[in-house]
Amino acid sequence: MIAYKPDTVSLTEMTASHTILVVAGPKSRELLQSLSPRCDWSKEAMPWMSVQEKTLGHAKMIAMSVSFSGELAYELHIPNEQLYLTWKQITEAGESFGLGLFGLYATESMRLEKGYRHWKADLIYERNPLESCLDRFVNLEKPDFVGKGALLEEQARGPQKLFVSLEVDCDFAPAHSGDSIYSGDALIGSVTSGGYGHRVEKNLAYAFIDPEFAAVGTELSIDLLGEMHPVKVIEPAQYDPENALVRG
Amino acid sequence: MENITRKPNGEFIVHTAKGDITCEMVVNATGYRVNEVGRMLGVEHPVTSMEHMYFLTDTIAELEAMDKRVPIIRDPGDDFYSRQEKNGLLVGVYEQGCKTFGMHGIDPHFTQALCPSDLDRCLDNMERIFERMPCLTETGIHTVVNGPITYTIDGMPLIGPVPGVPNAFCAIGLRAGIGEGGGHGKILAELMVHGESEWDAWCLDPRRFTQYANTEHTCLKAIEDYQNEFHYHQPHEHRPAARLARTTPLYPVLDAKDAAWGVVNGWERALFFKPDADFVDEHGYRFTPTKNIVAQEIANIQQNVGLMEVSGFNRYEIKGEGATAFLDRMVCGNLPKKSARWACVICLMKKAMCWQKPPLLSWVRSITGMARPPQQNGMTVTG
Repeated sequence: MIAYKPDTVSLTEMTASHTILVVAGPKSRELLQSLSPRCDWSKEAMPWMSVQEKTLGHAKMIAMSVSFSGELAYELHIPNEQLYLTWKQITEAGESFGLGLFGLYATESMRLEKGYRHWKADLIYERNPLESCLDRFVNLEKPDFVGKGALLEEQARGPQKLFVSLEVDCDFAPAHSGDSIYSGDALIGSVTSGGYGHRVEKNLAYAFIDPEFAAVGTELSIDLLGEMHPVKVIEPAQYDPENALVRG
Repeated sequence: MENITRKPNGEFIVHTAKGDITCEMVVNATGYRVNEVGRMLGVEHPVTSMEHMYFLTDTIAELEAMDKRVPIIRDPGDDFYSRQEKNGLLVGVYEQGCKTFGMHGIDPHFTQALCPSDLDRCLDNMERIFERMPCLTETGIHTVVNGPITYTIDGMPLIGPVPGVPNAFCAIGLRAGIGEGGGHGKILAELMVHGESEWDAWCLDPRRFTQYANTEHTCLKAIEDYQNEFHYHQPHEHRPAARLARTTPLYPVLDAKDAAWGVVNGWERALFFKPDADFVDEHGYRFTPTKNIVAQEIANIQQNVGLMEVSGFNRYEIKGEGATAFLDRMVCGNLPKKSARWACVICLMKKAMCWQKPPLLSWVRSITGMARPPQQNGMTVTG
């Protein structure tokens, strides 16, 4: 990125100066509004995919109405000097809303149910955005962008692999990155991410496979711990596919 | 080699006892002398060397009598490996009481040389090796070889640009150079000539470690990696050495709530919350009892509300005149049209290969257009 950056543009790293608190669930908006009398957290004032400066009590932060969880949720980007204050306010007010804590394992389960990709697991250098089925994030009408020429050539050539979501028929283990996917005896691809989806009660995985097998409903197999188990290609968004919850 | 200096135009001068060499790029591929050369470049590479011993036995009658060679053995329970060498055995040990090499300087005359042997620190393993292969109790050891092997924080080498030193590259921290060197050489050549490799080589990239990767941190992880040579790394396993490298102000608070901790690029991040302080997160390839705990965390999110801290999330502010045009050129899709909106965007690598290869993809997770005063046209990029 630096190679293309004009001198008038500054790039400042803010990884260590801020921390995110995610507040997720049907009562998230109510909880945050209860701490924030001068701000409007309503659906009309802050629709899905908004970014707004907000205060919670006397702490100030950037709030984003987005989340990997697929629930009505907010990512709060908080300067570290106000992180403890924000935590204290949310957890104390949260008691009457049934607030519970969660971590990375829960996030991983929830994002698999929404078809959300994880960078470095599902989004990798060897596959282009068309093969990754991320066409909606590509605009080939743009006059220019880095990699446009190559992407146009690739589009003309057609995909070498396609990204799919799979339901795994196995009740004792999740799929792991690198597990092989077969059609009959033919090796046709491999897993990028896998895990159990608790809200939809399905054992889920993502994989890149040969394009001719990528249609929803295709029945394939996975080599899981040395044994073949059935898998089926499914729609990526298994939980709340209409996105009613995140729209709030 | 004596020193490396830099000309005002950026070229390097490599000073040797036999004269100077001027060049546009340098590659530090100096094995266990990695940080002697690192110092010449003004950097501290996160690579530490460990001593490792193997011994060679006299002829073993049973081997001599066989008409074929015996297989290689790797024993994860007793931490040794063995292969046939002539009509005896070569046996190597990964002892728990291991030693770093070269931390106090390396003798300039140490070249194709070895360290003093110290099989005594392998006594525990020796007893178990003799139980595993009783023929060794009656066989003499004629040579002990002890030499340095380079180690890194995560067991993978560092192949690529040296962070902070333009046009300097490295191929360091290799464990088995003879086996690995070819592939690393190909990747490095592509990085030096084209700025990118046809393969996703991030797992080898020196820039995957940030400022926490100092010599002390590297040593602690190198010792741990050596001790765990034969211990399979399980899914979700986060090893205990050199932890707490990067924490947020909430670490002690969440710890008191019985967070089970993992590490993401040095940052402690909660994986889940234990039902009690003594709960142990089993690691394995199958579902474990932790699955039920996660189910309950999610059920509460689904019915009420949940809270999670995401430490150390990559975040950049990009601003200044031309920031929007710059970002628009970097991403292959659309930026948010209105300010105060969030969008997922993707950056692609340039196609710089001379052969037809798919463009590479790197992911910039979101761009937030901020409502800012007009003179500060900028955006924040996170992910």
